Amino acid sequence: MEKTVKLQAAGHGGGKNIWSSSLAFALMAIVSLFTLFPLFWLFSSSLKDISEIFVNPPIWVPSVLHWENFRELFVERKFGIITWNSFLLSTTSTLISLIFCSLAGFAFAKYKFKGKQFLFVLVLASLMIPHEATMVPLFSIYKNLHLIDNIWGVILPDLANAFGIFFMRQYCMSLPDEMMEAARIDGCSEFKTFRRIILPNLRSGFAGLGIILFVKQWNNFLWPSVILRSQENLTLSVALKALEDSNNTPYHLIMAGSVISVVPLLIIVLIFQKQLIAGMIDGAIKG
Amino acid sequence: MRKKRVLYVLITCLLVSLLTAACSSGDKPAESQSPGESGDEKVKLVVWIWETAKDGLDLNMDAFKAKYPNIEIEFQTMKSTDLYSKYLISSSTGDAVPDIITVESTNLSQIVQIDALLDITDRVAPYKDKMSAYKWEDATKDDKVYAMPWDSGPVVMFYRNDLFAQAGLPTDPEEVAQKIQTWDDYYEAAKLVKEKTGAMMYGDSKTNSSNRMFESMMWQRGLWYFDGDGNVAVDTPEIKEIADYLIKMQNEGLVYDARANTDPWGNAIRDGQIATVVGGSWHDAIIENQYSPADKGKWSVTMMPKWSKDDKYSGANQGGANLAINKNSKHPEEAWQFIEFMLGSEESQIKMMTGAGLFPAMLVDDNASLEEPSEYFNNEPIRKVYAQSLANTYPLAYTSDFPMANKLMTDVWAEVFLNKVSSDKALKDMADELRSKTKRN
Amino acid sequence: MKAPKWNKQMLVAPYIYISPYFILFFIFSLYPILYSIYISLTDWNGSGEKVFIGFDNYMQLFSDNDFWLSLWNSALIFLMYVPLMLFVGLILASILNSNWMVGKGFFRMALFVPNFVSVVAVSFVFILLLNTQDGLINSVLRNIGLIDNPIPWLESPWWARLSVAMMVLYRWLGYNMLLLLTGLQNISKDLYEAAYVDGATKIKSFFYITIPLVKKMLLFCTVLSTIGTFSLFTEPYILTQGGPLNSTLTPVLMLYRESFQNFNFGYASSIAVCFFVLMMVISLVQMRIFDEKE
Repeated sequence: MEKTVKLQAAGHGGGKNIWSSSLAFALMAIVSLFTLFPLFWLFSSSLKDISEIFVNPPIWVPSVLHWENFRELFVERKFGIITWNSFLLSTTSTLISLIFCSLAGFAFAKYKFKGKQFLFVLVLASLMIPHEATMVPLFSIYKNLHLIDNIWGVILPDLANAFGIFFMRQYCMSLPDEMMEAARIDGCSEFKTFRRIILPNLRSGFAGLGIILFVKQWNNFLWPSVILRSQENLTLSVALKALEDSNNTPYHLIMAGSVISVVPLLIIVLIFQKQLIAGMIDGAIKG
Repeated sequence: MRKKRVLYVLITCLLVSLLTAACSSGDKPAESQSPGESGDEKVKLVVWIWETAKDGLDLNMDAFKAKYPNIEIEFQTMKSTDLYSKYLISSSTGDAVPDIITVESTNLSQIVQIDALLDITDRVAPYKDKMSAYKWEDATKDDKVYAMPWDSGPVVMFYRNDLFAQAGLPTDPEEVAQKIQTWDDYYEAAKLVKEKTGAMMYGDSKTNSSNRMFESMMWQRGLWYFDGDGNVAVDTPEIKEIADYLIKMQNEGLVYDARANTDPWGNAIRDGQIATVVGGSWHDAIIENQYSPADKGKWSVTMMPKWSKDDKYSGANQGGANLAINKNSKHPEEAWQFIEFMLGSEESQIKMMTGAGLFPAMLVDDNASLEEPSEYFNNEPIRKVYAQSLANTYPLAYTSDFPMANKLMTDVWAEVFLNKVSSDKALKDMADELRSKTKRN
Repeated sequence: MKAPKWNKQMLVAPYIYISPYFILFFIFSLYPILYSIYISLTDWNGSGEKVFIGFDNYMQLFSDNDFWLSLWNSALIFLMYVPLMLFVGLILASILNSNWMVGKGFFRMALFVPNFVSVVAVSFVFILLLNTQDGLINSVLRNIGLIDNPIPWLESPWWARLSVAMMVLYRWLGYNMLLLLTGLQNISKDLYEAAYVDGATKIKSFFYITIPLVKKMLLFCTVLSTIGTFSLFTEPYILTQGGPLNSTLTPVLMLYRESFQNFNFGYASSIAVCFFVLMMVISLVQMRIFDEKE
């Protein structure tokens, strides 16, 4: 179960048949083209003038790079603060979730307490409640809590993350009990044990879960688009959609905005790709 | 080791951002409290609007700032349909933001019905007779007025005189109006244009129509989705007649298949594949500035065709906006000052007309700028045509169920063109659905 | 510190540790879903009075063609991409699993990238690509003479469903491939060697060894995709707004329309409850399948 994807995986057969290997390589290349081309088109279109977006013959790379698309977004459409919101929202939500999930995961992994079995089943069962089905009542609850048009309104429901608890529980279970015993004998309080002894050992779990939560929150769309509405509270995904106009949608700006939304994530994912992929697979299989 | 360091740097960043988050969320309420307390403070008004309308207001912003230095205006632009649904949500939660919203006449009645706008009956009283009468209809509920009219969209026919010339049609606006008096004439002309130039007569989507052409054709005859008593009227013979006409145009390949006012439609205009635009006067700015700036002199404007020669009314209205104040706004006085400055003065209205193509709902018949020739449109005094169309427009209201009717109508065309359903049945089904959804007869 | 104290702590600590989750869960999940059931029995526009109307919303929902259509659409979209995705995904995973392949790291990432790129951004790119009159795909197809008339990618029901399905495929191919790759790595390579010695071709060993052994993983991917397809929202919302003729309407999109566009909160809640039940059934089936296998 713990196995992650290894590049040097055990394979079959030898690569003796040059034809079949090059066929396989070609197939891989074609599929990669399919996945990467839209991104290329995204970057290329973000530097076009609006008049160059829908033209035949298509303009693959604009001859004049229209960097002013980005300038317009930041200067006139508040994309500075919007990007900041996305960043803030995703990090805050991720960090708090990590703390809550590791605490609960740790409790379920390493403690014996009354009702543990039942409560854990409840956590698992809660995975079955789709967030979409709670939107209407949540919306009317938010009215009373003044959480509408508030970034916390996006964060709060996502903090109760059953998947994260399950994920961290797996990591905690692999820690030896002796570690805790030793700390207790040294006179550490329970929370100190958790902070000093357990937390440092959960680092790889944090990286994996953290990156998943971050990516998910960064791209979160439906719920934020329901409750966020002032320009200065929007997140990138919502702001992109809000650029649409009934008469002429500024696709060049939408593409530039998309670049702003895609690039930070690309960088983060490239740095943490191992953790992300490992986390996603662990999460999916265990969850 | 390197990776580890990156990780630490990242975590530090996250923590810093978390702290600032806590601080900044603490600041906010303090900030918003201050203006209410002291009177000399600047008042900030939030205006929800879409881009093209904002372009109009921008022309008067300098003058406004000069007159009201302590009112600060913040525009938040969005798609009009998003604007409405967001506003419906805001109003249900009693939000004070935005202070002012822009509403197209098409959706005004719907928003007025939910009691989310400030009653401005007394404030607009001096303007009652200065505006086109039909604009008040959708703004009124139980004799109370909730919005100030901004612009009208008198429907006219924009046409490519070069394509018309190639097709052997007249090009002078007067002569074109003579030659293409009725929609049958328009159909004959369309065939000629297609044959001689390959261009299509107009652009409209088969499956995602905005129904603008259809609605203009209804409007000029005083027909609508609902009749005078509020009953659903889509399945009446007169309306079917219009639908069949448009279906014939599509089936004979005389229509460019793209939803009006989208980029593909605009590109077809730019590429000379569309010979006419029968639409609201505000299309002049769209054609001139947005899609076809290079075609100076190729476009002209004349009256739109009628159903039959002796119809009394020939004009129709398309869109046109209004400004309204949020019922929960904390600064209704300032909001009205803004609206009155922008829409209540002939000077501001004329500026928006000449600069942004927003033909005023205010009656400005004697204004000299109506006579002004438009350089782009072949040096013709195009605004005279608009005024003429407006004077001949049937006084009709959009009504509160218009948005739903419009949406269902789009599906009627899709049923006809995709599923080969007869227009009879498609219209009948649509009428029944509309009846059950709006609880009308 | 004295021993008894930490004993007491040990009893209390777990409850404190799990309390944040349960507090949040009750406020933001459990209470709303129960409240949802109540709202679904009322006629409510979100701000006025709730009028109790019993099961009327459900009666209306079950006779609403759009609701059944939304389920049917999801099923069709599922059929359009899932088999293809799993088949291609498995082939690609086998290639990445072989020891002679070069550039594995690059390809793995290249396939995975669409999964974490903002759906909203990707949807808008697809709008540019799929536009009927001026989209890139139709332009290219026309320029090289493959088609005379533009393909109505987003403007006819079947093409629109296919376009949505293609976009979902685009986003999830890499992810599923990674899952299958994990499955493959659990297969002992001795099996392949034995087959090789017996003279089996690669294609044969793909069908006779690979597929049966990753069956569980394939099933798992299918379940995940079922949940994913029925919860589709952003793709159809941005690409087609559910049209044409509601051919890409999905349950969540319908829920959104009825709640936050038409303000029929009662009716929307009946959709939400049905959606919840549907998701629950799928999850239970999933658990059942994997319990049996283990």
